[in-house]
Amino acid sequence: MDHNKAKNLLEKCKMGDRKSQRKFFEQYGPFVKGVVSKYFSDPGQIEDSFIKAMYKILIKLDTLENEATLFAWMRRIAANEALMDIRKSKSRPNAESISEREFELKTTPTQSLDMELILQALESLPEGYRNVFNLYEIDGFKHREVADILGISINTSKSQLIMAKKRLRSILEKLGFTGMN
Amino acid sequence: MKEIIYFLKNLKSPVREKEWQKIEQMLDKKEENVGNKPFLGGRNWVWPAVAATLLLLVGFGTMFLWNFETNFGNFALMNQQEQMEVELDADEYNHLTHREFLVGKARTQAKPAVVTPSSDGSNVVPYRTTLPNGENWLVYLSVMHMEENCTANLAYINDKALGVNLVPRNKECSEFQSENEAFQLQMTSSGQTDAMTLVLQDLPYRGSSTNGKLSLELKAVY
Repeated sequence: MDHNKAKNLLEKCKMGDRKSQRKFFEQYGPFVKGVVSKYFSDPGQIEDSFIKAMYKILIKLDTLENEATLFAWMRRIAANEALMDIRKSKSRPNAESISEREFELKTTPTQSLDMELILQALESLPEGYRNVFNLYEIDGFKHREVADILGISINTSKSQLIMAKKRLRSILEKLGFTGMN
Repeated sequence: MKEIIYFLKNLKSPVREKEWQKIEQMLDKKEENVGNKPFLGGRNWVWPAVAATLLLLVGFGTMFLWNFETNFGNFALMNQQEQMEVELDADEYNHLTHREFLVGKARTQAKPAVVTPSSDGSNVVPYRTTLPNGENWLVYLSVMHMEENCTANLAYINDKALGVNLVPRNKECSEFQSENEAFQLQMTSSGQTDAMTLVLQDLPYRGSSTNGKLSLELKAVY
């Protein structure tokens, strides 16, 4: 979609045009759902959090000041919505209980399976590690912002990021991924 | 690790029709709420309501104060005007009452009730005399001449009531004298003119500037 079409689509979505909103959902929904899915392992939780995030994005499109930052803007909304759901449900095991959990290997060597393995490796991280890793490395938040969002200190955010990378590297090496620097 | 991060940043998950239907329902519900309750649909309708109430209160308060001041000013002005009218009415009443009193009095009396020494009903006659120092006095006398008796009475000198009886000293009744001999009245005739002289042994009342015996020639006023 070129720039003019994207801009036109955004304007119509801001005006509440339902067809344009559906088109927006089809075009940007997979990206938003990808952001949300990194925080959950349960498909039902992913769906619930994705629906809330997408709804919020659609009704708050008029607050988007710069259309060039659309993806970053959607990523932050989706990440925050996912973290809010995590706080509410607390359904996932905490860091202490998961720390000793063994990662179950899935050995299908296709690309799609590689993607699945990467996500499973991410899911196997303790919740605190995974959230800091997702927020800082994937979704672009600063350590100060991560600390504010998760209610931890900046130093904790930094140390958990280091530990998350170390644990993720170890898991991926067990899965056969090489060159994990 | 960079490849993993790049992969995760560009991760996309397929969306489903079911998810869109749920989102569409939420959008429809929101529009319905906004459309049916434009004022109460939002979550922050309480503060606008409070602000509107305060504005109404301030408006009513201002209007009340303005009316009060206006009414108070009108009341003060009216009160002042009424007070002036009352004063005018009172003055008018006084004038009218006084005039009515005078008119009524004029109607009931043929003459104004002017009290004079000669109005006591007796034969008191006023005489004028001049003292040596130039003072003018009015002396009121009554002289009664009967066949076998005669009497005289010194009623007033100016506004001083005396009521002194004078007894005759001769049969001709040409001289009279008070019992204490302080007053004497002498009547003389020379040709066709009669003259009366009042002799005062002492001043009849204080305030006079003359001392000692004094002979005053009395002249009839009318």
